[in-house]
Amino acid sequence: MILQNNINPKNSPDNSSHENPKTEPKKSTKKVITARRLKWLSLLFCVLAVVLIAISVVLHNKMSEHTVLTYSMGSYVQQRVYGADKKTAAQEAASMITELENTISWRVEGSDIEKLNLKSGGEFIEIAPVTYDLLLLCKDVSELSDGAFDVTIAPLSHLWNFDSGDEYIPDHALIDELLSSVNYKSILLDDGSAALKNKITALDLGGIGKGAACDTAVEIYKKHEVSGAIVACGGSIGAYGRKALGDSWKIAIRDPLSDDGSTSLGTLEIDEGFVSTSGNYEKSFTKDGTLYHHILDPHTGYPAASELTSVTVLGGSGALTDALATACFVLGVEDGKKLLAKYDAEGIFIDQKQQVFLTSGITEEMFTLSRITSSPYTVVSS
Amino acid sequence: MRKQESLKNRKFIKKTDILLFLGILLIGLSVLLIFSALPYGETVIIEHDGEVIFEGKLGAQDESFELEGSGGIILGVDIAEHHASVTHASCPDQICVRTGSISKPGETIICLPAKISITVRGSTEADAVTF
Repeated sequence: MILQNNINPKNSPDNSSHENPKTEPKKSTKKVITARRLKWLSLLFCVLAVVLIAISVVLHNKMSEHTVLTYSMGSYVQQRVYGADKKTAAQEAASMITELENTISWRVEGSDIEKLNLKSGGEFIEIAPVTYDLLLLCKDVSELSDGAFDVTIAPLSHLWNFDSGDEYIPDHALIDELLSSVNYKSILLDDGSAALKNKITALDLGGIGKGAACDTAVEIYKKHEVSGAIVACGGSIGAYGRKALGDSWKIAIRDPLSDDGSTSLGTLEIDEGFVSTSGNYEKSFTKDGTLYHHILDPHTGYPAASELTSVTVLGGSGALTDALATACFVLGVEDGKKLLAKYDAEGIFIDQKQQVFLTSGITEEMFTLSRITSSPYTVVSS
Repeated sequence: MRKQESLKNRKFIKKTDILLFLGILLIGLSVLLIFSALPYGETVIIEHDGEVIFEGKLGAQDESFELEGSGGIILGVDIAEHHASVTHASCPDQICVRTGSISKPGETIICLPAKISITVRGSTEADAVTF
């Protein structure tokens, strides 16, 4: 602005000092001025437009977001939805997740799983399509992981009862006795009906319930054609579409060494998909120098003696990534990677030496370690 | 002569063009800066069963208060200069108290039995945490 003023007076005396006919230069200066004014005006409009766009983008971003926190599956369900139908979609997703819980939770009276557990060793009973599909998926992962994941672990997990928070180590003989009932092959499925072959067999879908809840939510988001949404049921996450500005989703992975879970090990950036993590820090206690955590090895009946502290899996369904994360934790890095390859899923393995192993599908752009100087983690390239 | 003049004029307009262009760039940049800086202040949000019951800037003022959650559970919340924490709770598991204080965007204290969550929100937070 100041420069402009300096140049202007310099220019006008220059014009008038010329000895040409007086009308012509005047006309030309007028023309120049109006042209300049036009330019000024158009440029001013440009500035205004930039400012308005910036404001509207920020406002739109803020206003287009709908967040809601509800409680289901013994956990919290956090949803953030963008798009025209965001409120209806979030509301419907929340109630559908509760409905899912009432269908697949062994704790709920009259649920498919409660009925199956009650009638174990008996005849086939008809179950909801969602239960049937989940049991089909569970059996499949069990088979491909050689039983590292097994939903018939229920009698043992109820015996250990990590949910209670009690530091209880069951009697060895009792564990061995119940171990004989653990076998995914005793889940019998037939055209919408299911049965449990042995009287002592029981099911607990708790290991895939949170992921299945994410599947349910994403299905609702698709139905309502929202532009983007993210759902977190406990530590299981489902991402759909895009954020208001088209950014991808940033998912922080909990630092297994963190006592209270407040720090993250790194961030995984994804466009769409499901993410689940299994770690030995959850529902655990230490007794006589041994860590007892809630991920039981179906072959031993004891907490999995894994070299890992946490496994994060990225895949195409929440129930699947939940199951795969548990299986990979039990299997370890090598066998875990092989299992993930069978399902086209990706994984981030963290072992007790703070080494991070990535599958080939996790690119450098997708995964970044936390940029804290004290981070003890190193990514080991395979 | 006229040719020279129009050449001069053209040159002059070009100069202002550059100046204006720089000006717009400056304004645009400052607008961007302002908007990127605006949401930087971290907010504490307390929710009960999906409803926001408290919202306040972290560091605005020190506050201590008690909340009643589901099942009649009482939580003592302390919001100090740069962090929020649950000082006492009448719930059986005390997980919320043991979580300690939170200060960074994306950190959360959750009391499941009381259905209360305390979250720090900011511009740099992740969209979700997997564990």
